[in-house]
Amino acid sequence: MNDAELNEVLRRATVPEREAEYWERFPGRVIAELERRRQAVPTPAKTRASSAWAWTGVLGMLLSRPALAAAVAVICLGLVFFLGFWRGQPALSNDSQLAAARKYYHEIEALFPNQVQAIVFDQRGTHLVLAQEPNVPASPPLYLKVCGPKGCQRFVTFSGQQIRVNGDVCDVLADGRGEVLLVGRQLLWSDAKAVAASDGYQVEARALENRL
Amino acid sequence: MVATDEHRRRLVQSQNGDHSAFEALIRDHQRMIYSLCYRMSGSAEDAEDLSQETFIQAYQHLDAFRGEAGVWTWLYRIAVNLCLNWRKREQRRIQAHQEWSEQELSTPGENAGRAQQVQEALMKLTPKQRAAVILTTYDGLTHAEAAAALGCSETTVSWRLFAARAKLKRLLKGQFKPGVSQ
Repeated sequence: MNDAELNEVLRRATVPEREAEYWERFPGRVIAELERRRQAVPTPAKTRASSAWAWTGVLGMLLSRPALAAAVAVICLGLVFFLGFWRGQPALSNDSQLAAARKYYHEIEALFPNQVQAIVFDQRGTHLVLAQEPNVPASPPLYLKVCGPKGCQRFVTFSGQQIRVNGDVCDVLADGRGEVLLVGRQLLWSDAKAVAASDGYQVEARALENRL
Repeated sequence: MVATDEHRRRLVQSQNGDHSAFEALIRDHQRMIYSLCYRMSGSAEDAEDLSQETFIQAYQHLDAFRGEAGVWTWLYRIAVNLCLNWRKREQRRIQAHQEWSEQELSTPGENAGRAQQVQEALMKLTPKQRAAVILTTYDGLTHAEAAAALGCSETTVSWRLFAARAKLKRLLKGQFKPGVSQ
């Protein structure tokens, strides 16, 4: 079979025709769905705070009495975890996953510039978290891998954004040196202190792009 | 199909909140987008969902359209990306094949059966190879246009097509019958 014959075979295979009524109704269905989604409570686009502001906010939160106790406990647990298990563990991410995440990020960012808040890779597939408006400030993308009791999730996100880790909403913060802090109700993880958090979580954070 | 300038005008009107302009834009592109989604997913139900989602994403990101490419290229790009990331629902695919089989039994001609075999062959390609074939062979895009829609280089499109066509020739061997047409 040559190319022309293959083309003929392919073109003979038509898509099953829909009824005229379907095409008549389709635009209205799309508009109705748009209206339905618009009426649903929108997730406000969270702008990324500066690193300094973000760290101050975290410190303030940690210094409140109940949070301080919880944070100390979590840090202690984290240290124990680190000393007992973390050292000597193989790297969580492999290069192919990182490369795939990087490629995916570039494709999505090109489609929706300044709207990407997070890209989530988990067992159910890939999910996008987009801001309503293209107002997400440019900053270096971060690559996170979090393995917890319910499995592993990978994220491409930015400092100042929130990610949902096994149902727990966590703030992602990065300082000027690119060191990452992940703060949630059940999870506290610091890149700078190499503290891995609670309940068997394993976290890895790095810049998505190669550093020169 | 109306001219590209008309599509751009409707897009601007849509950006200004004119629903009727966006409806007209959907009307002009719905069949192309549906066909693309059907060939990518192999399922009518998935194609319905994917084409609806394509236009919803397009509306929600009207500001992202910069006018560098045609409106249809932009819509194709959204649709292809959605299709590439769509979690194929095995149940729907099985159901679609059952429907095909029933249609084949009840159809006097051989067209439905042939179309099913071609669709099954397409589904055996990788999603990116499938997208390259659909955009160039069915929708008539040039390699450059397909590359723009797929977000890759022309060379990549050419390689994907080369591999896809070689595989399709193997899978569809014996399908070509000179003089047979729709």
